[in-house]
Amino acid sequence: MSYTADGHTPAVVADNFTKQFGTVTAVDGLELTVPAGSVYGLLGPNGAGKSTTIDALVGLVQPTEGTIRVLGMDVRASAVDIRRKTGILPDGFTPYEQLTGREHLELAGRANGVDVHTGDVLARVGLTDAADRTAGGYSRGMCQRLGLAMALVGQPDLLVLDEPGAGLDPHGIELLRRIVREERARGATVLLSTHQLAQVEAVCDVVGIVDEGQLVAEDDVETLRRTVGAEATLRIRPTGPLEPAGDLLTDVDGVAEVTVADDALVVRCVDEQRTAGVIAALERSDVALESYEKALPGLEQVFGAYTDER
Amino acid sequence: MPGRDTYTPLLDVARVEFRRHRRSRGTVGTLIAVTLFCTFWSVHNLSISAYPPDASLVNDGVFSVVAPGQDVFLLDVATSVFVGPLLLCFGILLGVGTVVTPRANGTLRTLQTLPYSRRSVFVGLLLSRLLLVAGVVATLTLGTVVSASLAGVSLSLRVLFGFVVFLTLHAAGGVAVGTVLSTLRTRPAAVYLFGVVAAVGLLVLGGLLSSQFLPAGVFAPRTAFHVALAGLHWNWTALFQQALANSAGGIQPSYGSTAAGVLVLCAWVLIPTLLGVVSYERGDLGQ
Repeated sequence: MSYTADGHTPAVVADNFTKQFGTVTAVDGLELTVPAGSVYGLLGPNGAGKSTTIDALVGLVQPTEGTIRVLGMDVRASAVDIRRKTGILPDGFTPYEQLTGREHLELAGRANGVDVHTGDVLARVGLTDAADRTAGGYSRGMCQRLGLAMALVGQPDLLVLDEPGAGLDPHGIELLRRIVREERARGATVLLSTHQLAQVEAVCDVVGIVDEGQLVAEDDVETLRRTVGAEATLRIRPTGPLEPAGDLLTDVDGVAEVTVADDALVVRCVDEQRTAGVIAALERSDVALESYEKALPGLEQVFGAYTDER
Repeated sequence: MPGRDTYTPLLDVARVEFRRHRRSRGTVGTLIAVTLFCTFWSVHNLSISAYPPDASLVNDGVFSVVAPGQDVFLLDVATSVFVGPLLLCFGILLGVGTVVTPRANGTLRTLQTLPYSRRSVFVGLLLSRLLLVAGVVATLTLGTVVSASLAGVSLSLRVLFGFVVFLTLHAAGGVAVGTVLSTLRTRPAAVYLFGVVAAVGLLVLGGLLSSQFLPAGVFAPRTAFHVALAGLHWNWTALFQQALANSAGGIQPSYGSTAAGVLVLCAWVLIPTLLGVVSYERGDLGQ
C-alpha cells in the first residue's frame, strides 16, 4: 500500500489500471492517486476513459489488468465495503420512476444501515417540494439532485461524482459547488469527474487530465496553468481612438501582440508581470482609460494543450 | 453461513423491485391479463366437465388414475396447455426482463451503486419476479377453487396445496431460465429473442428426450411437473412413469419416481439461478 506524505492512506490508488471492452481499450495503464481529504477533479474529453475509471472504482466494471484500492481496500475483494463508505453519483443517474424522492433516500438509508432524516437531506439538495412525488415526473436536473442526495446519505468518507453538473441549472451548479465544499470541510474526499472546466476550476484542489485512457497531467490548477505558458491578456478600452494607444503599446517591453476586437485593444503579454508595464505605459502617456481587464490562461487552454497534442 | 448481511440486502432489493412492479401499469396490466386468462380457462373447463364423486380419468394421455375421486379435476387442470406450458412460457418471458430491463433503463446501475453485493441484487431481482408468478398461481388457484366449490366439486386441501407448490415451482423454473438469459446480452431485443427460443425449446425438450432416451424424459420441466403431481395421491400415476415400470407395475427407476420429479423441478430453479449469479457477478455494468 502506498501512503501520502502526511501519512494518510490515499482515498484512491489506481495502479496500472487497464480496461478493455472487446478490442477497444477504454483505459490504458492508468496510474492515479487521489489524496485523502482533497477535492480531485478528473478532467477529460468525451470518451477519455473517465466514466470507465469511476465505474471501476466502485465495482461496476471489472479491471482487465492492474489494481485499484479505494479507502485502503482492494476493489475486487471489497466492493461492497467500499460502496458502504462511498457516496456515488453515477453518470446518467436514473431513479426508479415509480418511487418517490423520499423512498429513494429510504432505500439508500437501508442499504447503508443508517437512519436518514429524509426531509433534511432533500432540503439540502433543494428537493423538499418534490419529496413525495414519484421520480418519473422529475426533470433531468431534479434527478441529478436526487442522485446527489442519495450519495450524501450516511456521511461517506469518499464522494464520487460522475458528471454531477449534467442537467443542473445555474442554481443547481452553485448548490453542487457548495455541497462539495461542505463535504470537503467535513473531512470527506471528493472525486469529481467532468468535462466542465468551470466546475473543476471552482472547487478542485488537484486536477488530473485523462486522455485516451491515460493520465496525461496532474497538479493543482495554478501549476497546470503555468505549464502551458504564463501568457496573460489585457483587454483595454481607451476613452479616445484605439490606434494611438495600439501604436504606443506595440513597442512596450513584454508585449507579444496587439489586436483590435469589439472596440477594445487586446494586448497579449508574454507573462502576467508585464501587464503592469502596459498599464503604466498608458498612464504615462496621454491615453485615458475607460476600463481594462486581465485574463490569465484558463483550464480551457490547459485542457486543450494536453488533449490536442496527443 | 449466510446471515443477516446476506438476507437483508436481498430482501431490500426484492422489496423495492416488487414495489416498482406493483406501481407499474405495464406489469400490473400483464399480470391481470394472464391471471384472467388462466382463471377464465379454469372456470370454463370446470363448467363443461362433470366430476361426480366416483369420477375417474383412467387414462387422459398423461395420467392414469386407478381409483375414483374428485381431486382428479386438478390433474385435468394440470394437463391443460393453458396452465403448465403457458405459465412456463410466461415465466421465461417475465424472467428475461430481470436484468436486461433495469440495465437498459439505468436503474440497475443506481441499485448497484448502493452497498449491495452483486449476488444480493441478482437474487433480489429474481425473487421479486418469483413473487409475481406466485401471485398469478395463487389467483388462478383461488378462481379454480371457487368455481369447483360452486359446482359442488370438493378438493382435498393437501392435494390442492401440493398442486399450487408444484405449479409455482414449474413456473419459477421458467423465470430462473429467463433470468440467466437476461445476463447474457445487454440489448433487450436479443435477450427477448433468446427467451422465445428457450420457451419453445423447453416445451419440445420432453418429447425429444422421451423419443431418444425415455428415462431422460423426466429432465424436461413439463414431465417433471406431471411426475411430481402424480405423487400427490397414492393411486395416481403418470403414463411416463408407467412406461418405466417393471413387469409388476412398480416404478423402479429412480428417475421415474415422484422424488425425481420434485428434484428436477427444484433443479430447474436452482441451477439457472446459480449460473445467473456467476454470469452477473462476472459481467460489467458500465454504460
